Amino acid sequence: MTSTIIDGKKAFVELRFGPNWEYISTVRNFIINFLAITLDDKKRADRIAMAVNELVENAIKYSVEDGIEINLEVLKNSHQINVTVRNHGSEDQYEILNNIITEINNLPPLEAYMKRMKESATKMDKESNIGLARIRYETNANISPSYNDQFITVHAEFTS
Amino acid sequence: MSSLNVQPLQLDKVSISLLEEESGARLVFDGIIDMREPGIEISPYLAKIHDALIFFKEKTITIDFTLLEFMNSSGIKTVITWIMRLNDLANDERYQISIRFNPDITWQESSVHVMKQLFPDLISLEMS
Repeated sequence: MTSTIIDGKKAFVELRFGPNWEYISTVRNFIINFLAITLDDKKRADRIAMAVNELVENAIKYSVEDGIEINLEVLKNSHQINVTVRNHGSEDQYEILNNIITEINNLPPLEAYMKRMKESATKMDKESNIGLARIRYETNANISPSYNDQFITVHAEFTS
Repeated sequence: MSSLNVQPLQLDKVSISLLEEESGARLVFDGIIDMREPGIEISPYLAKIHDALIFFKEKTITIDFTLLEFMNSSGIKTVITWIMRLNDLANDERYQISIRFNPDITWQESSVHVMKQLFPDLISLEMS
């Protein structure tokens, strides 16, 4: 069977939902099922679904209004998968996020993950603050944030 | 082995049960941990187990993740925070942790190895 290729994409999906924590597992399972159709590698699909889960958790925690947006696209050879997760947020929140991502990107993935784990376990902060480091370590994704018109967007590129 | 007498913790998506077996204590996680703040209910339970192990001078426990299909980073933080409490103990009070994992469950394949690297003197891994 020949797949239809749209703008260089083998497959894509866009989701928008209200910031309700109870929907996250539904989104994670949807992404797993979506990627299971598209990818041969189940573990890769699981890792990307985990990454989307962590990104959506962050978006819900820090969103100031309803409406988390997820965009996932599998490029035509399946080697690259791009995910963006967007939420309403303040510029101050973006700056905090940008600093975290910069720190994670400046360290080897394992070192960044272990550093975040240690810091997380010694802080009383209820948030784990290790999700982004986990994504980078487990998927080797390129992670970058952007801010535009009161929206925070986190971009993650997964290459095999 | 003394009876640790810690009742199971049953939450919406996960149960945690301490089984006392001839080979030692085994803490079985069964289900999914994806709550926003798992530490609210799970941390006090793990603290109870920590205290019981110390009180009864148990030297080993197996954390059995093989039935835990998913754990978010907040869940990982909860487990790490428990294990890190061992650093506050004198050497003769510490217990060793064996993590039993299923490499076919993707989150376990990577995360348990990072836990081992974080606490190399306290954790050993056991593949199911």
